[in-house]
Amino acid sequence: MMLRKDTHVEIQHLTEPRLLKVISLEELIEQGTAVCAGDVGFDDLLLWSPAVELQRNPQLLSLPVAGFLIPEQWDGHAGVDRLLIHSPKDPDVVRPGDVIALTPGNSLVRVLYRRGSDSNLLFMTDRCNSLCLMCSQPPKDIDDRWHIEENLRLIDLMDPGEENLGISGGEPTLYRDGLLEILAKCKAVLALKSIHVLSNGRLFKDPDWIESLTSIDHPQLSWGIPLYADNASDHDHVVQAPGAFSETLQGLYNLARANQIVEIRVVLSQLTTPRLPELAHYIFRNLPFVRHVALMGIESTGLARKHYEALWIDPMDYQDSLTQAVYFLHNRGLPVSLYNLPLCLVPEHLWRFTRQSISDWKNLFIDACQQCVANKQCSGFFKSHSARWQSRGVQPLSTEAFSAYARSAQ
Amino acid sequence: MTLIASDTSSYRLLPFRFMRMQAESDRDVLITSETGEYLWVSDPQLQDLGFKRLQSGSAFYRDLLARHFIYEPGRHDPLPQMAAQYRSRKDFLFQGPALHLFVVTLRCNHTCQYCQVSRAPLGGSGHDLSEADARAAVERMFESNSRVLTVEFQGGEPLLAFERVRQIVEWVVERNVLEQRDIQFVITTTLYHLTDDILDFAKLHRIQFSTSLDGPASLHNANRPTPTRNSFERTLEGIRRVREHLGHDAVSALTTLTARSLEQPRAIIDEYVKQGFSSISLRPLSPYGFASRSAQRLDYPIERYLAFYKEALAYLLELNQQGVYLSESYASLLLKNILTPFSSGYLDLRSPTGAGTAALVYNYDGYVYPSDEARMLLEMGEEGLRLGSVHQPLSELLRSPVMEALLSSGVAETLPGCSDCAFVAFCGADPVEHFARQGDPVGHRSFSSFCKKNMGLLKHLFGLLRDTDDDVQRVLLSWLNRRSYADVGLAGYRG
Repeated sequence: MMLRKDTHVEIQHLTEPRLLKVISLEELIEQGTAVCAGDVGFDDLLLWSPAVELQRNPQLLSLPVAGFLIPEQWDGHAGVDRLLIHSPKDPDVVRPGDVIALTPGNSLVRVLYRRGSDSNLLFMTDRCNSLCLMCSQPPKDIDDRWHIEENLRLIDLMDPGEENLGISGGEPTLYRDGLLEILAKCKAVLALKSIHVLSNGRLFKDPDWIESLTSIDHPQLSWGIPLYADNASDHDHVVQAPGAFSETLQGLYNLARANQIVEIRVVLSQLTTPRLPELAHYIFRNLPFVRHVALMGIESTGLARKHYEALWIDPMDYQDSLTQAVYFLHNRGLPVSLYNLPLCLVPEHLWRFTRQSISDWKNLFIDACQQCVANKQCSGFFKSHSARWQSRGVQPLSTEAFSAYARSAQ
Repeated sequence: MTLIASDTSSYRLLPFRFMRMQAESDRDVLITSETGEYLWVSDPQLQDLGFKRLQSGSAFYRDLLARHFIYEPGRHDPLPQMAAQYRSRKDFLFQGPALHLFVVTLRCNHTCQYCQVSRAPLGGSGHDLSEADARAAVERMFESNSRVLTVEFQGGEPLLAFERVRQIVEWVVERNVLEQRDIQFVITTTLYHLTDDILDFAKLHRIQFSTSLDGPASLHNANRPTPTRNSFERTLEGIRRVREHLGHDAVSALTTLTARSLEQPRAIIDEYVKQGFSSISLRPLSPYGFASRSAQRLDYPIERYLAFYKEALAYLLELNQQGVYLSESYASLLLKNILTPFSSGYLDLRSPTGAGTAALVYNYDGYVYPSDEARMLLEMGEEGLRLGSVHQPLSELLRSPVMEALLSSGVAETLPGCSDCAFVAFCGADPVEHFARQGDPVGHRSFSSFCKKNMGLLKHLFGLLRDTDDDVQRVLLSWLNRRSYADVGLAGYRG
C-alpha cells in the first residue's frame, strides 16, 4: 500500500551530491539515455542490477554509467572504484525508472521521481508568505533557491510519458523566475505531463504574472488555490496573514486574465465548515471561471497538531454543511470533489463526490479498515493519522452498504 | 432628533435595491445588489442595514459582506469581485449579433387569427426574398464577430420558399469552411410542406425544426385554422416525420396562448407530455401583426395570463416530480438570471436591449430589422424601425438612427420605473415592445405589459425559491442545467 519516498542504503564511492536516473539493463540497451525526457548523459544513469547479474557479467562494470544499484542485501565488493549502492533497508522504495538524490556522508536515498506515480512533486521551497493554522508543512525562513536547479535537473531525468506532476512548497511563487523557468521547461521537456501547482495565489496580485503565464502558454497547467472564507476576516485568520484574502482574490482574477485553469481548495476544519455553503455560493458567484472545487479533509500534521483545539471538528458534525455546499455547486454545474474523507465519514449521497486523493507515499488504512469492504474505493487516511484526530464515525462498511456505494457512483 | 447617519460604524453601504413582497414571511423584503446578488431580509434587518446599526461578526453581517451589500473600508476592496460579477452578467455584450433571421417568404397557407406577421396568399408574388438580397444577408451575418451563429428561417412559411433556404444554407456552409464559426440552422415551420428531399437536406446540415403546437386538437385547430381544418393532425404528422428522419430532439414546439388557451393549462401541458417534448414555452400573445388587429377577440389582460402561468407552472412542477422532464423555457431563462452570476442572454431579457445587438432580421423586402417584432411592426404600417438595406455593411446598419434610439431607451438600469426596481438585474429592456404598445420606446412602466409580465413572473419565481420544499427546488434546479430530476439528488444550499 503505502510506499515511502526514502530508505537507507549502503553507499560506496560517492564524492558529490548526485541526482541519478535508475535504469534496468534492458532499458539501457534498448533506449539508452532516451529513457529520460531531457538532455542527459550516461553519467546520469544508475544501473539497477541484482548482484548475480553483475557477477555473471562482470563486463557490465565497465559500462560508462554513473554507478550501480544492487537492490538487495549484499556484502561482497565489486572490485572497482565505481559508485555503488546496495543493501536498501526497504528494497521496494527504489525501482527502475525512478530518479533518486544522494548526498555524501548520508546513507538516506530520496526518491524525487517515482515512475508511474501520479503523486510526483517538484518541491519548490520551504518558505511561505502565509502561516496557515492547519499547515501540514510548516514554512522555514531560509534561502533554499537550490531547489530550482535541482528541479530543472529532475525534469530532465524524468520519464517523458503521460503522468500528473505537482509543483508545491511552501509557496512556489516566491521564487518567481525559478517557477516560470520550471513551467517553461515542463512544457518543453515534459509535454505529455499535466502540471498542477499549489499556491496561495497572493503574489499573482502583481499583474506582471499575466504576461509571463500567457507567454508560457502551457496547455496542461492548472492551479490549486485555497480560499477559506467568503469574507476577509475569516480567511485572513485561517491563513494568519492580514490582507491575504484581498490579495488572493486579485490573484485569482489575474490568473483568469491569463487564461489559466483554476481549482479552489478548501481545507475543512472547525473554522471553515460553519459557513461552507456560503463559501460555495461566494466561489460560484464571484469566480465564475473556476473549473473545480476540492473540499478537503484536514491532514493532522505540522501546525495543525499545534492548533488542534481551534481546528478539530468531527467530520460527522459537518455532514450537513458539506451536503449543502456540495449540492449547491453540483446543481449549478460546477464540478466538486471531496478529498481525504474516508467513505464511512461521508453520507451516502456524497459518496459519488469522494476521491482517492491522498498521495500514495503517505496513504494508509488503519486497524478499523481491516474488516471494511471498501478499501479499494476509499481515500483511507494520512500516515500522520492519530487517535486524537479520529472521528467517532470510523467503521468498517458492510457489503450491503458498499453495494449502495456502487449504485450511487454510477 | 433621530440620528440618521453615523460614521462610527466599520462598514459602508454599496448600491442596492429592495422590494417588499407582502408575503407571509418574516423575511419579506428582497434586497438585490447592482450585480444580481440577492438576500431575503426582515424589515428590522433592512432598517439596521440602512441606519448602520448592524453588529459586525454576525452571520447576517457576513452574508451582506459576501454579497456586496456592504464593505469594510481599509480591510477589503470588493470592487474586483463586483466587476467580475458585472462582467459575467453582461458577458453577452462582448459578442455581436448571434441570431440571424432570414424571412425567406411572407407566403403562408394558414389564416391564424393571432398571426404576428401578417401573411401573403400562397400564390402571391413579390413576397419572397430575392437571391441577391439573400446573398447580401449572408455577408452581413458573417460580419458579426459572434463565434456562435444561429441561422433561423422564418416566414410566412419558409418551406414554401425552400429553394432559397437551400441556397442560403449552402452559401453559409461553404463560407464557414474558412470562417469556422459554430453554426446552427433552424427552420420555423408548420411542417406541412415537408418532403423527403427537404428532410434529407436537413439531415445533411443538422437543421433543427421549430413548429407551433398550441395544445390538444380542439384548441390547436381553433387557433390555427386551415381550409382543410386538420391543422393538428398535420402538425403531429410533421413532428413524427422529422423525428423519424432526424431524431427525437430535432424538432421543438412553441405555444401561442390565446384567450381560449388560458382556460386549459393542464390540457396544453398534457399534450406536450403526450408528444414527448422536453420543454414548453408558455408565452403570452405579442402585440404585433394580426394579433393586434384581432385584439378584441384574442387578447387578454396580463393578469389573466399570470394566473394561467402560475397554474400551469404548478402543474409542471408536479409532473416533473413524478419523473416527467418538461421544463418551461421562460422560467428556465429567468432562473438562470436569478440563480447564477450569468445572464441567459435571451433577447427580451437583455439590458442593453437585444434588438439589433443580439439579433438581426433580413426581411423578404431586402431591409434589415433589429428584431422579429420590429419587422412585424412593418406589416402594421410602421416602417420606422428598419436599420437599413441588406446591402449596407453591418457596421453602418448598427450605427443607424434607429439603433441609436433603441439603445438610448434600451438600458433598463437607466429607465424610469426600472432604475430603482429590485428585479432590474434579472430583467431586460424591450424598447420595441414599448414602441409598439405605447408609441414610445421608453414607455411608462405603469402601463407596460412587458413590465407587468416580468414583475409577475419574477415575483412568483422568487416566492417559489424561498417558500417551496426541496422537491420543488430540485425541479427548478433540474431546469437550470437541463439535468434529470433524479440527477439533482438533493437541493443543497439555496443561496
